[in-house]
Amino acid sequence: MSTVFIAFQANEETRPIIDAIMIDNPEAVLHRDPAMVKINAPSHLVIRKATIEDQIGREYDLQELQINLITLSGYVDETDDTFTLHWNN
Amino acid sequence: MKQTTPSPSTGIIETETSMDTTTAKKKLGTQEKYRYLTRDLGWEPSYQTKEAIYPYVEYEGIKIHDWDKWSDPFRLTMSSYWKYQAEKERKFYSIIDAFTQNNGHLNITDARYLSALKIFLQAISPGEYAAHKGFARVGREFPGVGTQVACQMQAIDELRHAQTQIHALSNYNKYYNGFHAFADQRDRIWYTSVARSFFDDAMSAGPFEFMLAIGFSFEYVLTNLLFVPFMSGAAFNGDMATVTFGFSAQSDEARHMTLGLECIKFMLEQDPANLPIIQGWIDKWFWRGFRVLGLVSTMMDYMLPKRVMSWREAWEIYGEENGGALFNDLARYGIRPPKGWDAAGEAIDHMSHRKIPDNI
Repeated sequence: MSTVFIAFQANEETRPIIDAIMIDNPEAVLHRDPAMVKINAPSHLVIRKATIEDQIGREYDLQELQINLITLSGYVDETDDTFTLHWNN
Repeated sequence: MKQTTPSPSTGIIETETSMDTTTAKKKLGTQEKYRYLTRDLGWEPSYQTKEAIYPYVEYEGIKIHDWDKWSDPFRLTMSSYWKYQAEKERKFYSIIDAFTQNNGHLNITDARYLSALKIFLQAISPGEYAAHKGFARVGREFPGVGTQVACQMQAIDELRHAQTQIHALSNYNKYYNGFHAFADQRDRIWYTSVARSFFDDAMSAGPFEFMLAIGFSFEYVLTNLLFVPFMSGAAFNGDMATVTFGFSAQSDEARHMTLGLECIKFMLEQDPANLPIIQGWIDKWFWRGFRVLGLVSTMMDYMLPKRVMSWREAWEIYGEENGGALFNDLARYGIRPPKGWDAAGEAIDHMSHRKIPDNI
């Protein structure tokens, strides 16, 4: 099974987003490096708009992820409510 | 009277009722907005044939039957693009201002760290500019509307990367030697000839090969190693200017990698005859990209006084694991790992420091 990952700049904007990702993906593993955070997950990772909104207390557009995004791995599938990374193997 | 036509610029559907009744406004979803602002901008030509308008799309031998099958997973429209890119630029320049105002150049860990920045500016930044020119070209040469828009955005991204890198490092140029003539040095220093040759080759290729060279080799294989562990190392060594342009650029690269992978998948799904051509390009461009990485290996192992990880560790994460995941996935189309994949694995331990034997 291949690993998907997503990395963000470590800052105040991404802290609640990272919390939301860890809530929605119990199998995900968090790595903290200088200035950045990388989240690995086995084959599949989902980011949900609703969970982020719960964490930050305001409306959130998933395309805002792009501002602090560093990199990712896997195929992207984006809708209004979810941002999913996956490998088909 | 009801008006149900959405306004493409705002993505809002006006459901206005006449007189003094309620006015409900509903926002368009990402997918609908993308369709209106991207696919709807294309039209069927009538004055010229498609062959005359897109003369370079067939000679490489890639067969495409339906350009509408191309999809941009990020579904980014131009209006959203400008909004988020402007936000990235505001963040970038506020940090650069703070860095220069506070004499940030005096706070890096050691002088040898600057050697890594010189290599970056001489070898990589001109490459960003070359990628900008290349995407402006292929955005014109591809017939698909979704592809054209994605290439146009990437062309602007790459120009932004070259500019932000030059701006960020211009502060060092005020105080230290070796930064001023980077564009000339690209053509004169032996080690930058590797990167220059890579981009010259990509830019003289046809549109599909260019996409694979940049989208797969430069973005997927190379930039993750350059912009992620190296930039984290820049932060660790007190260089807020570089880490800022690095992460700001890499946030675009995430989109570029996705575009590159979509392009490979799209070509493979369109016609089985495309497979051997694509495999040949993957073999070629993996190796070309890997040789450019020789520069990054030295930067990571010798020029970061405080290290986040070694070159080998970075390769294991972003090369072996991440590349391996991609090739496992592409195996269902008949793609195998690139020729040179095993040789690359063997080279990792010595590529950052071993002298090439005289008998080779």
